[in-house]
Amino acid sequence: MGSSGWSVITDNWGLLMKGLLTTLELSAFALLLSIPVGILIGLCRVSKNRILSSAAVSYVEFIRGVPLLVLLMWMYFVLGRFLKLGPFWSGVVALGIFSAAFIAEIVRAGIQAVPRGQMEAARSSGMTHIQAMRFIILPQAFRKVLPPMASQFITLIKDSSLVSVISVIDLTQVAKNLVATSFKALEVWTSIAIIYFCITFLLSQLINLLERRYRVTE
Amino acid sequence: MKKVWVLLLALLLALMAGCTEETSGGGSGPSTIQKVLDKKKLVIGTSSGYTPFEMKDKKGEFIGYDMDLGRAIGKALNVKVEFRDFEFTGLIPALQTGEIDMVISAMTIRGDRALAVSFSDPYYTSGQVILVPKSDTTTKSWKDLDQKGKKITVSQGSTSALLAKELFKNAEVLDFEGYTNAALAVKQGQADAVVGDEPAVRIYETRNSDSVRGIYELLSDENLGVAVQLNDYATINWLNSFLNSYRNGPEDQKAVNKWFKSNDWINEIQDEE
Repeated sequence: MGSSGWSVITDNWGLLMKGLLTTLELSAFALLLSIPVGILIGLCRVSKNRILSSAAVSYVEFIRGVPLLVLLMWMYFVLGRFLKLGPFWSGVVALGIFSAAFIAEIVRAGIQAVPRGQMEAARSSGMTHIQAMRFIILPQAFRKVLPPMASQFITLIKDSSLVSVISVIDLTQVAKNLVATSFKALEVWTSIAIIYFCITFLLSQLINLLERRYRVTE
Repeated sequence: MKKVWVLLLALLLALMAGCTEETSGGGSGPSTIQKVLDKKKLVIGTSSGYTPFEMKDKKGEFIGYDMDLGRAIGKALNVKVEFRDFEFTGLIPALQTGEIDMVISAMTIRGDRALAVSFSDPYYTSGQVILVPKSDTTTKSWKDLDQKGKKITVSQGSTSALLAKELFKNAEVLDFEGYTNAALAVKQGQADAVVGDEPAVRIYETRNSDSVRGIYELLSDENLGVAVQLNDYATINWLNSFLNSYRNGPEDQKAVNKWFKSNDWINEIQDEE
């Protein structure tokens, strides 16, 4: 057989790239959904309002306690059935709300990591609570949350591989189909691993760059 | 940083160079049948959830037409039989790497598969049909569904999947993990039809007669075979000799009557609802 097994990759390059595009689209939409939801819930989590903070805690605890695979199946076969979301959007919503729970925790940790004296100083110089949050606390928290946020984005891209179970044709689904028709498991899965790695590595380099830029101003 | 890259690259190259030769599998060394006799254990790979061929009963034991065949093979060889559950697409890779000795999982004998593994003679012949939601009262043939916007579901990697992708030129074919999920999407009205083996479709219809109906126009003939490592002639030879006496023999007839001609076994398996 020799190296001919690898031709399954070159012959189906177009299909693989189409799958990769779906993976990226899905991750991007899920990210767009999870960032505002996650930040909102993270802010609620540190809020002094009991109702808001306990609602946020429940959300985080519940979503974090359910496996993503189960959430995907539930979104498509239970909720998607009534909302008629279809496989792609069921996947986006499931990934988005799943990731939001982790982003909320990152945001909370970031805000709480800013020394208490910062808030007190801001308040005593005449700022309102909201102004202090907006101009003093959040900019500092932002810098602190960048590294864990980066790993969360990378996790999101990797987690998106699970959507193949609800028939979305992402990179992993293309790979499964190629293995199913060519039986070249080693060649296909090795290539897929490299492709995922290239994407996530690129992303982490980008975030490193961003981090370094903000560090300079410190 | 540079060192890490060089190391990674070297690792990958070593992996590629080292492994390409192995994937062609089997052929050399002692035959599977000899190994099975030596270790007194036969490991059969299957993909459960495909009624009435392979499924699990309420206690989690493997039951079904294929399991009866597997146990009969074990009895004939006088060895212990162990079933291992895989996703359907994982079966051939598991066989190639030697993790399992043979595949009995309603696998249709096909030319492309036979380039990767070898098959025994057929042990059962069935055909592919479609199942549609009960709310669809007009569809009479799969051809009625081959339109833009229609969704056809299949179990990934199955012959139904391969066939559907060949047959349906305009409808969209969606791959699900296993027949159960593919059929569920249709039952819920999220897709327009599922393609599956006739016995599996018939049973799904029996169990869900309020929500789905089968259309028993055969899309193809399916000859099911036992898969072994590529070019393991000794094992294929033995299996064919065994099947010559097993097929339509008393044990097989008992199994056919139990799994295909009656629905009594349905109480044995876990209820889906």
